[in-house]
Amino acid sequence: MKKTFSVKNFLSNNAIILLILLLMIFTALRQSETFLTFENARNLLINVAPRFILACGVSGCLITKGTDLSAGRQAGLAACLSAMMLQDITYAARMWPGFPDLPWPVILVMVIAIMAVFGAINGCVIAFLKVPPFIATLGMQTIVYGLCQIITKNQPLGGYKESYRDVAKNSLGPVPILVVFAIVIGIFMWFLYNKTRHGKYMYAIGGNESAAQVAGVNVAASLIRIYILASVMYALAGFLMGAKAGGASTATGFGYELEAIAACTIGGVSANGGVGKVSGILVGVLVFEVLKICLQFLGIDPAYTYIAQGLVIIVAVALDLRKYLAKK
Amino acid sequence: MRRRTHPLYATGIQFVGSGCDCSVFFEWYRLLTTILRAAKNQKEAIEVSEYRLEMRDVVKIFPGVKALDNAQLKLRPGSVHALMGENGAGKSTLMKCMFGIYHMDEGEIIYEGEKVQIKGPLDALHKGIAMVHQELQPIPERSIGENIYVGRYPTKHFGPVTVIDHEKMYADAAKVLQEVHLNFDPKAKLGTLSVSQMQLVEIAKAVSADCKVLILDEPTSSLTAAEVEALFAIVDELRQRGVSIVYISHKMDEILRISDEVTIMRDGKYIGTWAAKELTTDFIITKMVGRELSNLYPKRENVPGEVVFEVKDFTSINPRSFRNVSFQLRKGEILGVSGLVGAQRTELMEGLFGLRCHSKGTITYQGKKLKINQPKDAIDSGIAMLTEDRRLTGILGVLSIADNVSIASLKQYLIGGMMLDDRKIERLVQDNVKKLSIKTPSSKTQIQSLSGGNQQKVLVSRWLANNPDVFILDEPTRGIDVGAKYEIYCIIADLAKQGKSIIMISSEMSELIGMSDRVMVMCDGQVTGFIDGEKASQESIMELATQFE
Amino acid sequence: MDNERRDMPQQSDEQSGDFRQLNSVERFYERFRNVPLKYLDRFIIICVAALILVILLGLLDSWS
Repeated sequence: MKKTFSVKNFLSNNAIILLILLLMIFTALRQSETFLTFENARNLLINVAPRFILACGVSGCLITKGTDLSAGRQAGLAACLSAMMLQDITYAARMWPGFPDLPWPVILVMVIAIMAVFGAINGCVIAFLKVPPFIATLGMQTIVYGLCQIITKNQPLGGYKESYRDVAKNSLGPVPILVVFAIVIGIFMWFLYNKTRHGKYMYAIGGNESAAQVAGVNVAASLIRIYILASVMYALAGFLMGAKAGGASTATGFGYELEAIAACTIGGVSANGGVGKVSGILVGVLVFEVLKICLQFLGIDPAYTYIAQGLVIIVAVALDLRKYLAKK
Repeated sequence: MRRRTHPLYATGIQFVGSGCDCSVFFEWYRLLTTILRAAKNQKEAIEVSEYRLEMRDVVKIFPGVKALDNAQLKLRPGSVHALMGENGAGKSTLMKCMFGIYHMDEGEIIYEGEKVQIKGPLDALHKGIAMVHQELQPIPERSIGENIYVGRYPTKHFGPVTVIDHEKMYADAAKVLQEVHLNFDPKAKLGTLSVSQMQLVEIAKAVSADCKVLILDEPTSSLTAAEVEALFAIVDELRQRGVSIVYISHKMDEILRISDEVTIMRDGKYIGTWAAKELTTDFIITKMVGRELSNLYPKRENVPGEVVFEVKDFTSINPRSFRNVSFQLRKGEILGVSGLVGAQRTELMEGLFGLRCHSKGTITYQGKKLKINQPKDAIDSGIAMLTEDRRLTGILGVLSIADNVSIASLKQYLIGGMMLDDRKIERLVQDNVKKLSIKTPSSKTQIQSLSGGNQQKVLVSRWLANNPDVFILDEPTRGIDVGAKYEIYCIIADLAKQGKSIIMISSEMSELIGMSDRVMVMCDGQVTGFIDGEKASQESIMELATQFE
Repeated sequence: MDNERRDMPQQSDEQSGDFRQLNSVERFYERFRNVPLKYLDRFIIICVAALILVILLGLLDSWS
C-alpha cells in the first residue's frame, strides 16, 4: 500500500505542534532579548524535566488502553514524603524530629519503594479485579490525597537540606541535574519500550489484549509491572519537583496527570492503544511548557494561559477522537 | 403481472401491417406523434416489469477492497431466489445494501417500478423488505415477544404519555408464532430457547413484518432436519402469498429443492442467474469457485503415524458447553472437526488451549499429562492455535509484521537476557516471508493492511517460530479468497507431512472432506462420531452433526 | 488470476454492542460514532480559532 503524503493528514497529526512553533517564533520576535537566552532555555528544560518523567510513567498506562488519574497526587505524596525526610536537621518546624539525617539518594530510593506499593495496588486491582483503570486510579487518587493530608497534617513543608535543594540548583557540566535525570529516564524508557520483551508485551496488550493473551502474553503480570513502573516515575518526578520548588504541600502535583495525559496524546500516544513513542512524549510535554513560557514572556495574564491550555487539551482529544473514528 | 407492450412496438406492428394504404400518411403522422409522446413519457412511464425488486450495477467499496463489482439481482414476486457464492463473494454485502445497512457507492435499486433509496433498516422494513440475519442478534434476557417487536413496539397513550402496549404486543406475538407453527410462550425469556429455536423466532420476526421481500441469510445453519422442514413449509406459504424471497445458503441440496432461480456471485461480481431445475451441484460449485473441482485441494502426502495426543473426558465448567469429549490425534494427521453452529467446537479447542476453564478431563501428549490453565501453558507444551476470528483474537492490528511474528517467541531473541535482537527477528521474518509467500512491502508494515490470507500466513509464522507439534486451526480459510485459500491448504498439508498433528475446525463441507484424514463430528457439545477420510461425505457428516437435534 | 483482497470488514464488535471490549475512553469515543467527520473537523477548527483568539486577547489585555 503506497503511503501518500497529504497536507491534510500532516496538518491534522501535527496541528498543535505547528501552532506552538508559530507562537514560539512570534514570542522570539517580540521579546528577543529576554526570550532567546541560554538562561531561558535552561529554565524551560528544568520545568520540562519532572513533567516529562511523570508523562513517561503515564504513557505505559495509556498505551495499554488504560489511564492513571492518580499520577499527580502520587507525585505530590512523593514530594511531601521526600520533604519530611529531607528537612534540615536544624529546621525548627521539622515534621519528624527524630528522623535521621540521610543523604538524598537514600531517601529517593525509599520514596520510590513506598510509591511502588501504590503502583502495585493499582496494577493488581486493574489486572485481577478487572476494575476499569479509570475507576481504579480515580479511587487511588483520592486515597493518596487523603494519606497525604494525614501525613503532613495539612501543613506546608519547607526548610530543606542544602544538598536536597542543590539537586535542582546544580548542574553536571552545562546540564542541570534535573535534566540529567530526565535524559537518563528518557533513554531508559526508550530502551524499555523498543528493545525489551516487556515493551513488546505492552504494545501487544494495547494493540489487542485478547490476541496478546492468545499469543501467550501474561497480561496481568505486564499490567502490574507497568503500573509499578509508573509509580516509580511519579515518585522520582515528585522528588525532583520538591527540590525545585524548595517546598511541598498537599497541593503539590494537583492536576498534573491531566497535562501529562494531554501531552502524551499530542505526542502520539492515544486511545487507539498500542502506539506511542518516547520522542512523542517529549514533544507533547514541550508543547505545554513552551506554550506556558511564551505566554508568560508576552506578558499575558496567567488566566488566559489557563484557558489556552484547556483549549489545547480539547483540541488534542478531538484530534485523537477523529483518528479513532476515521480508523474504524 | 402482465407485461404491457411498449407503445412504440405496438405502433410499429400496426404500421407495418397497414401496408401501402392511402392512410400511409396518416400512419406516419400517428407514428411520429406516438414516438414523440413515448419519448416524453419515457421517464414518467411506470414500467410495469415482471420483477418486484431489481438491484442494478451495484458497487460497494470498503477501504482497500471492492466488495461488490457491478452486482445484479432481479427478484420476481412469489418466487424463491437463491443467492450463492463462496465466503467473501459478496452475498451478505449485497443484501446489506438492499436492507439499508450499507450505502451503495454506485448502482440503483428499483422497487416496484420506482427507483428507491433505502436509508436504513427501519426504512427498509417500512417499505416491506425484511431480513433474517446470519449472525443472530437476540436479546436473551428479554421475552420472545419483546425480541420479535424490538424497535417497533406497539404503543398506547395514557393522555400525553406513550407507553408500550404489552398486551397487544404479546397477543400479536402469539399470532405470529402460530403462523409459523411455533408454540413458544411469547412471554418466556428468549434465553431459554436453544440456538436453533432462536433462529426460528428470528424468522418469525421477519415474517411478522408483513413484508413483500424477505431475505434469509443462512437460515438453516442451526436448525435440525425437522425444523428445516418447518422452515420450508413457511417459505412455501410465503411464496404462495406472493412474497419475494432471497435465500442465501451454502447447502446445495436445500437450494436445489426450495428455490426457483439461482444467482451465483464470485469475488463481488455477478456470474449469472439460472433456473434451479437446470442446475447440478457440480455446475454450481464450478461457477462459484471459477475453477475445476479437482484442483481445489492439494495432493496430501502426509502419512499419519502413532497416536501422540490424547484427550479424555474433557468437560467445560459450563454445563451447556462441551462435555465428555475424548479423541486421539496421530502424528502427521489432519483431524477435521465438523458440527453445526452451536456445537461448541470452538469452545472445546479454546478449552484445550487454556482460554476456557474445564472442570474435568485430561490431555496427554506423548504419554505425559499436560496441565493447561492458560494459553502460555499450552504454548510451552507445544500446542499452537489459530483462532476463529483473526481480527478479534489473532492479529495485533496496529503492530508491525515483525512484531506479530515474534510476539509468541520473544525469549529466543535475547541478547544478554534483556535486550531484543532486532536483526535476528528480521531474519526470522524474512525466512517466513519466503517460505510461506507472504506478500508485504516490508517487515515494518502494519499487519492490518495486509489481505486476510497474508494475515493468516503471518499468524502461522508466529506459531511456527515455537516449533509446535500440535496445531489447532479454527476456520483457517474464513474470509480468504480462493487463491490464498489454496496456498493455506498447501501450507497445512506441508505441516502434516513434516509430522505435525493438525486439528482443523471448518464449516465448509468440501474443505473438510478435501483436507482431512479423519473427521470428528460434534453436536451440542458432545462428540457424536468419527469418520474416516475416504468415507466422509456431506450426508454422513450431517447425520452425526444433527444427532441430538 | 485471483487478486489478493483484504478482509471483508465484518460488522465491528463496537457496532453490535460488545462493550466489554472497550475501555472507558473508547466508550466515550463511541458516542460520537454517528457524527459525520466534517462536524468534528469544524469543531476542531473552531477550537483552534478560539485558541488563537484567546492568545490575542491576552496580548491586548497586557498592552492596555
